[in-house]
Amino acid sequence: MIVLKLANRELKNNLKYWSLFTLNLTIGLIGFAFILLFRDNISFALEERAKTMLSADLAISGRRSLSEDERKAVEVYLRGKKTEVSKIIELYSMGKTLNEKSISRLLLIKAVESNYPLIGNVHLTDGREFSPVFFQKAIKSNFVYISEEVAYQFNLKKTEKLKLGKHVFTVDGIIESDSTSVMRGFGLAPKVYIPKVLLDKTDLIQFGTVAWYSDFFMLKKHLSLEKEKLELEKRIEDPAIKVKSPRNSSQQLGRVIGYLSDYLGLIGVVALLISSVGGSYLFQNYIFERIKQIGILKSLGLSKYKITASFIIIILGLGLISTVITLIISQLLLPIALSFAKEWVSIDLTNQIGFDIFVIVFLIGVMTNLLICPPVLFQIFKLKTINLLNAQIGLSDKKQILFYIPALGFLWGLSIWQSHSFKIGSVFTFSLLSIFVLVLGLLPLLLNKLSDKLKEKSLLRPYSLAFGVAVRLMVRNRISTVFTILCLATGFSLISVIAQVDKGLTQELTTKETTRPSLFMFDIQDNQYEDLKEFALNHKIPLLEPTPMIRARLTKKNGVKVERVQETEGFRTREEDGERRFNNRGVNLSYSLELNDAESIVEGRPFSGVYSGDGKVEISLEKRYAKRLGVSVGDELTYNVLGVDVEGVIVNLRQVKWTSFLPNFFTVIQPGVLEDAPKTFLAAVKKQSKEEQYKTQDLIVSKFNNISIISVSELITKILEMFEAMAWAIGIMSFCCISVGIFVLFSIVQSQLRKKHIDFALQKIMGMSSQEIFKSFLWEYLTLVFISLFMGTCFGVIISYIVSILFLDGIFVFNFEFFFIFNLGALIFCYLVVKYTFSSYYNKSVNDLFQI
Amino acid sequence: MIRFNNVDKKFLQAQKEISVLKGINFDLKENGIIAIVGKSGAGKSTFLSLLAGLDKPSSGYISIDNTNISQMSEEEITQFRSKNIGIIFQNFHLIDHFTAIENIMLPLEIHKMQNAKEKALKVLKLVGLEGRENHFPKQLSGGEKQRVAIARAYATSPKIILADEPSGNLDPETGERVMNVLFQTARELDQTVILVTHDFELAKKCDHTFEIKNHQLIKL
Repeated sequence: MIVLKLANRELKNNLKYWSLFTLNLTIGLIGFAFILLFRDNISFALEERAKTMLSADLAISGRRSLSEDERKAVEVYLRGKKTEVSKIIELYSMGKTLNEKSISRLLLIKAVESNYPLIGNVHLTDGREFSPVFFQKAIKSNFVYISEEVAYQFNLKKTEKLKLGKHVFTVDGIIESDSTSVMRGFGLAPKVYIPKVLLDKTDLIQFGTVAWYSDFFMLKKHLSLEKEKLELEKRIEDPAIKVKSPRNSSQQLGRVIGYLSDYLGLIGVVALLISSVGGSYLFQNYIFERIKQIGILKSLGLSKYKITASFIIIILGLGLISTVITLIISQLLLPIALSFAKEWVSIDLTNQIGFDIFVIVFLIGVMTNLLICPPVLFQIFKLKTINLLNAQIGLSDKKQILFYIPALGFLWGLSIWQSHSFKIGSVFTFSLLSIFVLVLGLLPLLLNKLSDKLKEKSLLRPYSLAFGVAVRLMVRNRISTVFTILCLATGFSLISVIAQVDKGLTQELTTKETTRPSLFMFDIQDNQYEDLKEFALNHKIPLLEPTPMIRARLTKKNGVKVERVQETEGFRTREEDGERRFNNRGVNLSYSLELNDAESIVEGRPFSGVYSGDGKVEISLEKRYAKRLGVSVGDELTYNVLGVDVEGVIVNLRQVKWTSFLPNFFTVIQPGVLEDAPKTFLAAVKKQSKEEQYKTQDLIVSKFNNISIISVSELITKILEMFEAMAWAIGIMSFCCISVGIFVLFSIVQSQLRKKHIDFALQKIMGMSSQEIFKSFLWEYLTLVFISLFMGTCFGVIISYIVSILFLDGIFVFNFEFFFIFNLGALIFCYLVVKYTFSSYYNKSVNDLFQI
Repeated sequence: MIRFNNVDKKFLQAQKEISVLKGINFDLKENGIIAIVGKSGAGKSTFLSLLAGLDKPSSGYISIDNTNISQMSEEEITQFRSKNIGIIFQNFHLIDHFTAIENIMLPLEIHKMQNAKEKALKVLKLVGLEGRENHFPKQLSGGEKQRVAIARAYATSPKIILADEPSGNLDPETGERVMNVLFQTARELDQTVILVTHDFELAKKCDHTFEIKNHQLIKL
């Protein structure tokens, strides 16, 4: 009973303090709840877009249709799980119109069922879209639907005829947009859709015909697609049959989704940790302020358990109040957030704060603080009552850090839960722990040394009286200084991580529109190289320098033969199969002295020049490829180029910005070696309008009929649009996270400043002018923030570098702008906070200051 | 030298106006040690706060050396106080994170006085704390803290020393020793000391004694 009374009295008597405290905590929690809401929605939208691109929840595809046994196994496993199935067969074939003069062109035929696509849409230029009813008519009337490229190439219009194999189809529509177009990456030919039941009539599927057979599945909502994918893979032993989930429907998409989900996990953890730091600071600070009161209660005979209980009731009560207010306000603010998200990130937010957000807000608002505060209380209880009464506490007991282990364990668990990744959660928790150990271990020693040094100096040193006073207050007020720097540096480092990773990812995901290619050309023969360049020049085609491509096979790694495993071996795992194919696969080599715009050397040195004939040939490898191959700079590789061995040494590893969509090679050889080898060239044409593209395609095909030329602009635009939306989302998330972080951190600074009124009054009594006292406090806090910024930014850059290596394929770009602007901004903000806080002290009498 | 002219002081407590001092008139023309006595809550500390410029009268005015301090802005009174008044508080009011010598040096350095450290050491010696200069307040006893506070008040050689129950937090023996230091130093430096106390015995040792009773100041 006494415990409740004490808690109640404390709350009533300090209503202003507690209201402000609850307000701070609530604002922090609201920010946190919205970050989580945004994160979950962006994650959801990302999955949905990926599903649209796959056109289903899961797909099973391969160069053959499923065997009876496989079909049965899939059927049994998915019984009760799937809601709809759609089958599709894709193959390349020539097509032509009925016009005698018309030439045949290579087409990608997609034979689809009436429910295609299960997710997403195929829109026609006349406003219609694919639907089951629509396909019934298509089957009856032998309809074909063609892409705009096909319509242009054949000069085809609606109702005109297109012959595919032995069957003549009638064009019923021209496809304007196809949300599923990234399913197979770059198609080698423009596509046409026909009803699957009409495929037999074309007679195109014969024994030995190369075609891709896919079964698409819609699954029930609650299922984990990645888990189902793994389960299906276990049931289909042949590695030639691939099970695809939205995440790995295309290599680029998979990688981006990987980056983004890791990043979103990161955001969750960062927001969680900043909120925890802020919350625990506020509560611990409160306990430090109440040391004298604890001493009084203890001296009056109240047991430490009862005192702890009264504090816990307050922490619990206010945490609960903040959580409830957070949830109510979040719900009220949701409509604004919904319209904001829709306008800025094109994402439809769900209209409710989910249960998991409720739980995490509660855990942060209440549990984290409950775990973080008792260790401080137990430490305080170890002090003599007289020390408590004199409010004398120190950081002498190094063992006290052990009391935080349960809190750390709890945070670790939360981090893993929030990031959905053991690795990310662990990296962050342990990075945080390292910061704690470093700051708590080194800073007190440093402050002690400095304090001793200052004893010998005049108060006017260093620099001025205001600075001298500031430095002394900071250095001697060890517990507060260490604790504040710890919280600020941790917060700043987490903010830094977000900004650094944001920069790397944004740079990776976006590309200048003018540098994007719109056409790709393959099979350019050696003797056509000069002609093509001249032709492009004459016809003003913006042709990028063609890149040579030579087929070769890797035979030795560091002198050791790369085994060519025979196909007759028994069962292999998918990983083994991948490894086997990776080692056995022929490779495409290229040569060039210069790097293109999308490449940069990340390790090693550039080529020394054209090969002179002496020594080993210099090789440049793409970084990730080198990692998969298990080699690095200095290793030797031997390639067999049409029977001739080329021995080389790796002189550099390149990072390729693959969103440039420029022709890039994993392996580039020093010029002067492969020029005489049989080769073809690849070329790309810079971004053109649709009409120009069609014209270019026609011109090239009419002059060089062996060259395959495909339009990649629609595909690239679609992928890049998605990436840019994601880059925006990342930016917004980063902004939210940084804003909440700054708010939390400056709440800490402000709560520190509010305790300065006694110092203000004392210095005023000594004769210091308000201006001078303000200067002194400004110095004190600017120095504190500066040290925290310095430490935080350094830690942040180190953590983000580790994060980039571990999760983002080494994508790391030092964000100098952020480094500069944020540090400067934080110092200006600190100045404003100090000025604002002290503005109310300026004209107060000393007595009033004592009584605040 | 010190003049209270019809000074009233009222406080607002729980929306109720409470009069602490009413129509106080006081005129001190020469140096000396003055005791202000009275019961707890009589308004002694308020009297001292007004004289120190830590607070302002509700009506009337206070002048020191013909300068009306009641009309001064916060900045002006801070400047005036630092030059003319030294204050000793019952609960010392030392800066916890400054050493004893730094606490004494601070007012000297605010006034940009030369050889601040030497002067501070000299005053510290005067109050008998030689060798304790690098100790922080938490490392000093109550009596020692009060002696540091006295040294700090004397350091800039102000004309007036205001002492609010300086021995109130000390045991009788230490209290007496501290008061001896205070009186001795004041006489040596020919300063005016206005001492607030409820100890009539101590008041008897002063040159003049006044009592605050029923919101009025009465000479005893």
